[in-house]
Amino acid sequence: MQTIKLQSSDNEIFECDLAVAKCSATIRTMLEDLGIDENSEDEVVPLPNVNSAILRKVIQFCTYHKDDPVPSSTDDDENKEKRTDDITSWDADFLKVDQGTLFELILAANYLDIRSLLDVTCKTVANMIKGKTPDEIRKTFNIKNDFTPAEEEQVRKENTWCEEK
Amino acid sequence: MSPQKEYSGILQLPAELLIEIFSYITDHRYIPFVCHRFYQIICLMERHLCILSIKDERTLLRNEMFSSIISSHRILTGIKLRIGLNFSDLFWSRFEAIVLKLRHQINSLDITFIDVPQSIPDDFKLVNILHLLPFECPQTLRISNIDVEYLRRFISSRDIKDLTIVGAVKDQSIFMNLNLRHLTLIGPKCSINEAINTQKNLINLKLVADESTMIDNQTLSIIQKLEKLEDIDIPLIKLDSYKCIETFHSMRNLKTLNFQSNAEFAFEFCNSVMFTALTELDISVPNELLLDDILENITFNFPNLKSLGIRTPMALKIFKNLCTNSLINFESVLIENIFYGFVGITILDLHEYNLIQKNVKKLILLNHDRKVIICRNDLLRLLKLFPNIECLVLSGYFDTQNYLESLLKSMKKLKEIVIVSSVSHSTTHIMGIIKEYGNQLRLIVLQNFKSACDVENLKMFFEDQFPVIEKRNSNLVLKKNGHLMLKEFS
Repeated sequence: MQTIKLQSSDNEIFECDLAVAKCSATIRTMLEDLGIDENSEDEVVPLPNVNSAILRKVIQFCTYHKDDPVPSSTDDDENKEKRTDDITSWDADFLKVDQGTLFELILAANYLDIRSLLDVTCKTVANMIKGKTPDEIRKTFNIKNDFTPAEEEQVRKENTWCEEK
Repeated sequence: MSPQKEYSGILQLPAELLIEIFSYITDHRYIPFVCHRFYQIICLMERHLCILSIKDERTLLRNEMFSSIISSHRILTGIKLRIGLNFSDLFWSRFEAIVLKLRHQINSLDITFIDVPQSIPDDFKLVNILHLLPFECPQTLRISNIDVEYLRRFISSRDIKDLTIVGAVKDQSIFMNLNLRHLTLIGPKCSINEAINTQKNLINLKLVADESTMIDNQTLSIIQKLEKLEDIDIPLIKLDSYKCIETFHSMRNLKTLNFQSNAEFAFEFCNSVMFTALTELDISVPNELLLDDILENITFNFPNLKSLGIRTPMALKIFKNLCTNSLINFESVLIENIFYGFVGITILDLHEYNLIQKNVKKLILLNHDRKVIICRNDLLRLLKLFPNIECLVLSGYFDTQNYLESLLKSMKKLKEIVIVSSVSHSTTHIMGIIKEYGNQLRLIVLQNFKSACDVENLKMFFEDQFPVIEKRNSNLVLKKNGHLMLKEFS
């Protein structure tokens, strides 16, 4: 089985299956564009935007999902409602992490271009927002209310003539 | 979970990732209130589609309100307009300015007259302003209390996909040039055959009508030819049941069926053949004899049913069945008690039926029998059988006075509550409860509150506290919508 070496921002080297690494579209293009020889033993792919803790999680995710069918981009029917209740139990367990890790996973999934990881992490955050009042949302994410009372009134006013579709 | 950090991680995400996250949330209304960042993101999002709601003349006459609409970053895709014949020139010139600014993005229009006018004068400015909209706008049109003739030229010159008319349509030729996907007609009509005859692409058909409406076998033949229909809601009272069953079973795309008829028909329909496509059924069974059979057949013949509505004088039987039949697995249940039943003592027996219905998320209870007011303990006991309800609708003779509070306390997952009351409530009591518990609920609708409850007072209270108030005024839609709707709490 072919393997590849990935280097995290804190210089830790991870050796993983080539098939696992290729879940990331960024790594795929890197390999093609940079002409990194897949057979060469010593070649290391540097990932300066991902630290070792997060990279370890990402590799764990991709190892589990490497054989998943690739969803075609045309699958996205224009009117298809985006669901958030379809997270598998493995993914849900995998994402039982603190918020900091969750957001770093989102950033890593975005940088590495791993669609399935980005989808499931964003869904998880969306579920933390859904059905909550502004105050509950602030508490959940430790956000400070930075509106002055006058600004808040302005947003409220806008909402008196503006209705959700 | 690690201890909370000083900064908030979510605010460190770049805009495109926040948009990605918010795009999974269909109800955006609270997000802008959280902080500046969230507000800006929501304004940025193309997916954030809002409707401009002009509730009365004052909405546009207030300078700051008008300028806030005109200068808004929001992407407004629809206008909801409530108008009167006596609106001033200033209102119309401001409305014209708004239409001119938004005209390429108006997908939906909802126009209601506050009072039903006898006739609309020729110089009434509405229709000329509407003609400023480009041909493809709007896709969705709802008009109520307006003489359709007044808008005839406008309607027939547009590419409308979704049309709702509340009120009489005297001349059906108005539908001739339209190619509709959704049609809802609410009001007295002579015949609908002409209206639907040419609508080959119709997906939803809904008629709320009185006895003067002629739905005959020819109507059924026309419906049968509308191959794309997925959703039918019509009264079938006078029709030949075999013809109806034959019609519906031949329609492969049908998913939702809602009809009023006699018990024999309901029985025959539910007893006929498997209908796997059906996911929603709402029927009247005004005769108790066949109810057990109907319920049994529903479970077997419609295996994919997610939502069941039954309107019957024997509502209690439905409850018994629901609470003892483990095969029933609906997400939404509607039970309407039409004439009598729901007798206190039998409700007390409910503890015998201890099969808890965990899948029911939406429970709608309608009781029209004034002799049998459902009281507090009975209702609480009953609701315990449905621990996961997110939406509860109580309409009619439920003694909700003075215990809304405990109701809210005991139901942890409740997010929406709709109470259409026929018994009196005190205004201050309701205000107090809402002040205290409104936060956990997404939607509270209070309708038809009589006597002791001063609706105007309550309305003012809500207007002060909460941004959106909607009022509907048509008796014909009373059954499903209602009189006073108070919503959106933050």
